[in-house]
Amino acid sequence: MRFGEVPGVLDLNLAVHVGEVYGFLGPNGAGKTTTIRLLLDLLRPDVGEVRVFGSEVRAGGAALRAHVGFLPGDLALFPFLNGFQTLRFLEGLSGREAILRDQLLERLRFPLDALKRPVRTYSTGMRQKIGIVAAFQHDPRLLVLDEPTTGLDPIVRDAFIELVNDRRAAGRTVFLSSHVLDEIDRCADRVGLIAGARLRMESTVSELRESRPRTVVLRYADGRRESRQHHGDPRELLDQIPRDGLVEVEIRPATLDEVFRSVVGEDTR
Amino acid sequence: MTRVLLAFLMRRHWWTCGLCVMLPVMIGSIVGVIYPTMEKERSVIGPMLDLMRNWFPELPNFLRPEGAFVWPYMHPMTLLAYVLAPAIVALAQPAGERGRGSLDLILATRLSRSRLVSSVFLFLVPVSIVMGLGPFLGSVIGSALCGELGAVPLGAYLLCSVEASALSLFFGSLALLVSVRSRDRGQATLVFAAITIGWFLVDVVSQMWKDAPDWVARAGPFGYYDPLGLAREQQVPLALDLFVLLGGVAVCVGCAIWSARRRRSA
Repeated sequence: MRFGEVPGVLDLNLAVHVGEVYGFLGPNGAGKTTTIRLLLDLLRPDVGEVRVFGSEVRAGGAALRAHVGFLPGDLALFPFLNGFQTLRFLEGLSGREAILRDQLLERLRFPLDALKRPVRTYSTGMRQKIGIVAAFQHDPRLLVLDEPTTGLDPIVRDAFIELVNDRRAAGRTVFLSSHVLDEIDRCADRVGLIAGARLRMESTVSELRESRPRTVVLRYADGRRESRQHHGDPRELLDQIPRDGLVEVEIRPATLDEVFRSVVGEDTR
Repeated sequence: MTRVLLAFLMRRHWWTCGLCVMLPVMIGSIVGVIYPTMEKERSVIGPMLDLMRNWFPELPNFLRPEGAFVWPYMHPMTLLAYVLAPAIVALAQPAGERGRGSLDLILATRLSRSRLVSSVFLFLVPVSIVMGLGPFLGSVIGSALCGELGAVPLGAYLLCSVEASALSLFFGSLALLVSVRSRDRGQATLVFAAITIGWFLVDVVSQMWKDAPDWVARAGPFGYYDPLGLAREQQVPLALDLFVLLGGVAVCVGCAIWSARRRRSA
């Protein structure tokens, strides 16, 4: 998939299993949004095919998209509608009843009186909440969420993570694109990492952490502080550490953030 | 789903379309208010105009009711309203939504690209009919205001409205085609304005060039709109006019749906 001379995504081959949360990571401009647009037939590939629930996405068309909830990364609502009208409009287009709407508004702490105000008067966070409710409200089988926590405060971000975990528990599939690694860490089963328009890595979150170096921080009595990266069993490392003056050893698993930096750093060099 | 989209379009565009319709209504009403004040002019110039029309039958007699109240159909602002009302709707969807980034949100639902285009077209049909009826309403109100309703050939005026509706729908369909093919409303508006201004110029040339061949007038859509001829119940090829305008509508809408389906990016 190319935009003129600029590659959108190249040789992308990934599968998301039913009932899992798939975290799609990548730096800005890596091809996350392009992948999502391909997934929803908003963009058509030069070669290859995209299948959702076993059907080719273009052939499946409207019937297929009735089971999809979508939150675009660059969310633009309709300024002349109020919040409630926006949700009703998108419910009408999805063709399925918004059975989760009230629950979602409550969990995301959306002030109900604000629903009667035009969305042009909303803050970024409020618009994002409306977008999230619109994507989830008809309980779709597949949720495609492009950077969903943009503009949300930490409390609402936690509520959003809970929502995603609840949907997984209900057997729904979630495709979550983000560069906020913490939220992927907290809810994803598997992770795909895209950089430079290519999928660089795909694994479970725990595998990804295991396969990457651990961060070991050593503190000495004279105030020195030393940090190392270590592959493999950390007990081997303890044998190699000079013990003189050592007062504290901290070994922690690599965060997804460190993994991300490591892979992106390696691949873009 | 089409109903949902039509309600959305109605909520979004009712007032701009309403304003455009009010324009010929207002023109007709103003003519109705002014008409009685022109009694002196009518008594002096009226017979001269009648005499001149023996040699120039195409010359309208705006001092008589059947000529005066055709004015809402012919005023340049009315022609502009025929073009603008449907174009505002069609340029906003899908080009406007594409430019703002909200088109993805709409098309990620059960709504297909072709359904979006056909729904917008469906909305343009009543808009165009109402646009065509606007001048009729203006003529009726105006002539009633000055007590000349009986002197106005309402049947002929209704035929003018049919032609006006077809013309308005033609511009709406053209705007829809341009909208489907453009990356945003800015680009779509530019292309549509260029085409429309070109056709306005063709119309101006055909009116000013006394010995212009017939095809010059017929080179643009305004050549298929002749309210004056219809109002004077002259021999006007109404069926041909409607065939060309509605044929143009069919071609534009067909191309718009085909283009929307074929677009690589929504």
